[in-house]
Amino acid sequence: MKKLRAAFAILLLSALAILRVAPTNIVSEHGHSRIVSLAPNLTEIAFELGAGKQIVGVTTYCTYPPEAQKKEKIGDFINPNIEKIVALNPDLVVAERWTSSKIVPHLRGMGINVVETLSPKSLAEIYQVIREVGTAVGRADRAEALVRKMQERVRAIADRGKRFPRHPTVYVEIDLPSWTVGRASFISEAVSLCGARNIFDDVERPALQVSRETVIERDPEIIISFDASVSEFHKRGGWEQIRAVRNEKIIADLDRNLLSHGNHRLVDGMEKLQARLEAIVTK
Amino acid sequence: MSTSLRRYSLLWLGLLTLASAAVALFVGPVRPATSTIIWEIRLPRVLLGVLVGSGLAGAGAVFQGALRNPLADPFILGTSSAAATGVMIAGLLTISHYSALYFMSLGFALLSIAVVYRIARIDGKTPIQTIVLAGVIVSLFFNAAVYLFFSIFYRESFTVLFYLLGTLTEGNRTLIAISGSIICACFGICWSFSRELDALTQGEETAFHLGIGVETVKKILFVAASAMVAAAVSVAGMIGFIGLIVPHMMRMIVGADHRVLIPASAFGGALFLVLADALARTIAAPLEIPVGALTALIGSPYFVYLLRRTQKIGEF
Amino acid sequence: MPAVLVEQVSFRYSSGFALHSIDLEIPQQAFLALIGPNGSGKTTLLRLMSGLLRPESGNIRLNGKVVSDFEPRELARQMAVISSEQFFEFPFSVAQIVAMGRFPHLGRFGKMSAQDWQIVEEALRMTQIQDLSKRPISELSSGERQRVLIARAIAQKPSILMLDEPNAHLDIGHEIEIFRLLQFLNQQHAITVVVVLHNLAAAAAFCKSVALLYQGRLLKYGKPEQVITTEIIRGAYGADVSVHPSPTGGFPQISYDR
Repeated sequence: MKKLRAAFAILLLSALAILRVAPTNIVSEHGHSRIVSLAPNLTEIAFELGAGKQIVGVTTYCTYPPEAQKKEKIGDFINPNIEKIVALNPDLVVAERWTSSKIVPHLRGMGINVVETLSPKSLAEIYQVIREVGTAVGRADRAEALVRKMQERVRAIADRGKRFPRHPTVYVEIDLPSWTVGRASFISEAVSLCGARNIFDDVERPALQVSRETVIERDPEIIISFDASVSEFHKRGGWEQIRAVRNEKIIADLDRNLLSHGNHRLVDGMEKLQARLEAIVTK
Repeated sequence: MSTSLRRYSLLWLGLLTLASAAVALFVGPVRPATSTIIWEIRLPRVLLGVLVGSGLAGAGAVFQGALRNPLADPFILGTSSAAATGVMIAGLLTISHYSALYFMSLGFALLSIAVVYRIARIDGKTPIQTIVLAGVIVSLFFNAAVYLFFSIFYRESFTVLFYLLGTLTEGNRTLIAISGSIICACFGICWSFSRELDALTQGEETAFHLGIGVETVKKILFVAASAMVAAAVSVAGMIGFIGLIVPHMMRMIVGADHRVLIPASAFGGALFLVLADALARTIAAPLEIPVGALTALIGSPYFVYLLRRTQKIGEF
Repeated sequence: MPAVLVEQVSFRYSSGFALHSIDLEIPQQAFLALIGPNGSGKTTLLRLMSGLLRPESGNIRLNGKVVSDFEPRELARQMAVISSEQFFEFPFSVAQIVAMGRFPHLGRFGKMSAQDWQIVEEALRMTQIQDLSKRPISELSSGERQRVLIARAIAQKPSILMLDEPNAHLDIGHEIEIFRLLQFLNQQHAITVVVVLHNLAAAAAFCKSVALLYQGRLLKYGKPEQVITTEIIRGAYGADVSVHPSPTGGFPQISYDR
């Protein structure tokens, strides 16, 4: 499939959680010794919580932290290889909740302990995912500490954002041809905490495809692009009249993984984004 | 007569299928495989491959005979698009239970058969052309519904997409059993109508003059064959081209007699799918390729070849 | 009892074409040609008699029983029909096609018995296609195919055989062969033969009786020399032809006028 990368971003985006049932797995106090992670954001959280040594299998997309790349690969998260997972003899599998996955029911049917986290669509839900992973790997305390640290940094970002002389409008393009985010997305929330305003925050959806003329009509001051390069925006018919394009205010070089993975690293992404926004509004 | 020779080819095909199933148990990305992997993962998979492969190929043989078209595909009546719509609606209603997806897709696929038949019925008769036309219209409609859904919903659409990407990774034995029973029962019905199918290939008027109650027989055959497809799609997603290629190839080997062709197609379909799946889980390990994509990849060039061949006959 | 009895039969297609109160009595062991210009209703009458169409009014009886009261199987045991609809895409062998003639005599799970195969062999022999029995039908010529279809009809063991233009696409040699075969079945096996024909010369030479349809009505019914006359043919077909008695056989011969 051509859009594997797109699919990757999509699945990790904050989205409407199809199921919102908290997992009811009982976990030993000492944590698990053989963990398999089926999603990059969960791998990152587990490493951050110090459970990296217990992880025995990850997806081919789990590239951060670098130690994760040394772990056994069990396929990508769209087509994980169930035989590989089982062969690693895990005592815990962490996965993002995904109703149509045939893997998770199969693993559970074989008596393997699977913890499914929700797909976060707000910062609050990201905190929840971190706590869930923390509980699952037996490091609830460190998870709580990580969340508190994040909340502190987010508060600082928010205070700084409020002090912006003005709050510019932003169009966030997460995928071609014109997929963007709505209010029910942590990216939109992050943008507004940083001191800007997502031009599509009136739409109560995590992600939506908009027509390009609507973008022209809403005339954003700044464009944040995850996929298309700066020059591509100049080539789009009619887009030269958009303020962001006219004034060269297109941010296309941020690490999309920081902003889209939906875990503790979002704060790093937010701080970088805020610095860029601040440079624009204070000039 | 030549029937004894044909019976032997059935025997050979049966043995070959059995052998490939046995081999497939030992083929996979994990080597050597533990007994858990062989019995709990590969066995249900091989079993499902046999069921789905034989169901699709058997249904293909029936469709090709009844529609008097050696290039007919069992998805021709829109069964798979309807199954997709069922999964999509389950997603929309945020029905979260996994088996709900299965029952929604099975239900919609079965429902679509009734819809196609209702549309195709004119003055108590269902001419072949109107059946095909009704099938095309129904699949266009359901496809449009699915595309609309894709374009509006972002993440949820993956529920549909990945549910429908053909794969045999189904671990729920109850669902396998339900689909399996439907496939076996409908297969038996179709097989018992082999003579009627033979007669139908000679044209509906001729079939009538050979003593066949054409309308009743067509209804039974289309419903039974579509139900097989529905059962296969809802448990394993879209696995293309097996229903098209396998019966066609088998016709070259064992001839057109449906009493031999239908079981031969079933064996051929099972053989093909079980081996394709073994390939799909090994070839790009640790990645697993959806087997539906793999079968279509092998099948498409063959389809082109078939088309060119028939065009040559047409020129004659 | 007549083989086929058509009583006051009317029929109308939604397109408007109609047959108007046809009366026709076909005795046992008749060899009848249905003739008439294009669109006169010959094929429609054949389809009515063979049960494909139902008359709007009137009755058609086959050996005394109304055609629409027959189950398809029962009908197929009494009457074999070779329609103009012919498909040969599927690679059945000649023997398999001929064996289809036994279908109306077999139960759903019944197998072809030795006796059934004997009947098939017999039909292959009578039509002189034993040598072709294992060949796929798709590889045969039109003349050979026509023989296969007649063999299948013979295997049905019918008392009535109906054919829609069995000589279409055949050269004159194969045409005569087919008619000789039909004559043989008619005389030696006491099968009533009804055949739709365009070729008036063949109708005059081989058939025992002729029915001429014209604009949905039965215009004339009788022996060939009664129906095929210069006057009647010119009237019905609007064609400049002349009919003379054959110098050898006494049947009418048709020649084109220049």
